Amino acid sequence: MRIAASLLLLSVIMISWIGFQSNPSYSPKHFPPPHYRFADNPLTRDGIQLGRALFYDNVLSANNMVSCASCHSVYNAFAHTDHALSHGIEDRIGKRNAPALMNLAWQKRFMWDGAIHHLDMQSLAPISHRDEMGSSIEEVTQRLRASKVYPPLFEAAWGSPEVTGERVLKSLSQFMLTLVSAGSKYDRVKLQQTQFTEQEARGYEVFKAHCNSCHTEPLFTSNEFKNNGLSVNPTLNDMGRYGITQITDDSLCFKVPTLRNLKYTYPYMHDGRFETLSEVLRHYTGNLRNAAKQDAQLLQGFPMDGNAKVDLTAFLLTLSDSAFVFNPNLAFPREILLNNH
Amino acid sequence: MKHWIFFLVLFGNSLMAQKSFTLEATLGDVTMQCGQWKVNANSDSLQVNRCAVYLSGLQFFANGKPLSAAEKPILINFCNGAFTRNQVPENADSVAFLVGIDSLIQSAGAMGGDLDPVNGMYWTWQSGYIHVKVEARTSKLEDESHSIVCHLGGYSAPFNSNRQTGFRLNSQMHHTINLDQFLGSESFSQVRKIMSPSLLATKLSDDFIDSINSKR
Repeated sequence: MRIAASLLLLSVIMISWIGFQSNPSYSPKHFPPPHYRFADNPLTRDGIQLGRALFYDNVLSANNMVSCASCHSVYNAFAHTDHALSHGIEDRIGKRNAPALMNLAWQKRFMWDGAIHHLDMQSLAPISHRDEMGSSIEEVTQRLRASKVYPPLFEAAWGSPEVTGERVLKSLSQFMLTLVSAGSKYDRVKLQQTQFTEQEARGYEVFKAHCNSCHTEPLFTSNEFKNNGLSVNPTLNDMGRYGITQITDDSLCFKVPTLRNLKYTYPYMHDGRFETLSEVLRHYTGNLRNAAKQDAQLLQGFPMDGNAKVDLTAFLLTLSDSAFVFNPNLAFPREILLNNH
Repeated sequence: MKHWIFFLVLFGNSLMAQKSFTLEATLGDVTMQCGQWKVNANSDSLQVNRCAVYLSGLQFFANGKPLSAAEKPILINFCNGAFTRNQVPENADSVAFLVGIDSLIQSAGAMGGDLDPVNGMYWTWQSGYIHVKVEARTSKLEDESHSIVCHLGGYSAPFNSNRQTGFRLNSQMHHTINLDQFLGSESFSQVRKIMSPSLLATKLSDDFIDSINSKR
């Protein structure tokens, strides 16, 4: 009996895994194997829908005014356009730019300083942070238990209406794992469905020569932490990864962000100091003397003329994925939240 | 009838052949009760308000051989009383456990039960379980709040605060964590608020293990 149950469980896990792997919208063919262990949290339709409702619901915040989507808007590729620093309840301002959320199954560490090591645990940080949602997972579970909307959603997703911290976090993960962006022109070129223009092709060569070692294809991030030569903002005094590891070499190192969808995710850098791509390129083609001494490539700089910058920009814009940004399955779940609250 | 006698003898023996292992938080010689002030031997007043600890891999041994599989992590809230494990085999002569949560579990994602973050034993600003949480007030400290907030965690080098420990059991099955001794640690004269992995947290983790005694 026990063996049969184990085999059944194994089959369910395998089917879920194969389902994820074979679903092109969740696991693109030209992507490497994901880092997230789907066997520990198999995606289900109801789990994703519950996570989507939680992601868009202000109930996660202390004053019922802020949701995950407040700083991670679908129309901005789940970033916070127009805000250098994200703001939370009672208009409190944080000290970092809200990173764009996409392709999270392929990330090993989260936050600009890599403080979070697992997607499931990521949501705890904004829920609890005083300047973001100012609540706690204990308070959130109590509120969800008391709501009319959520117990049935938990029952559908998890087999019983019980609301636990584990189920809240895993449901949020399930939705966030569907934020897969792989429908840009770049992707279609890689899948041999179209071709770059001549200018984009030249820009691609510039990219491979200067950018790819950190913003590595096809995810356009190496998932590493780098000091890219930005001066310290004296009003923030953000030391980046050093604050987590206490290792001197990690001082002023921040996570290398993906370049996908950067058309939608301005402003740029960990503190949102650059509003345009031109400013970003001006930074990288200028003097990077503040870059970490051990990073020879950054210290060398990236000299390029105006034409190369224009070509590079043309290539970077091929990373825009409008199908992702306007995907109705990722948008506000009107049918759940408006009809029931 | 014979069968009944057989089962009676079998179960009767097995029930008789078991004992209990207890781990209790104390302030010196007396049981710690959260919220109650106690004057210690140095005439310092001491009040513990929170004391919660993760024990992982609890396992009993006889002659060096394990008598059962290592248990899953257990969250003990000493404000609710002592931890007792019943049905310890009579021949158990030692016990071992980890104070903390190992790196495999730490990096496994969201978990339920004792490991659910709703228990208030998971850091939110960075990933990782709090292995030991002790919050107290003491007249020994000169600052206004007289408070100590000690959240020990960290599971990787150089700030790994997991500590493996174990004891010979023999006739002594009642063990204590002397919080008076722990809170009197020299480290607390330097820093009273510890809430992140650090070298100091690793030192205090050693001190916490040293405060576990086999008798009152």
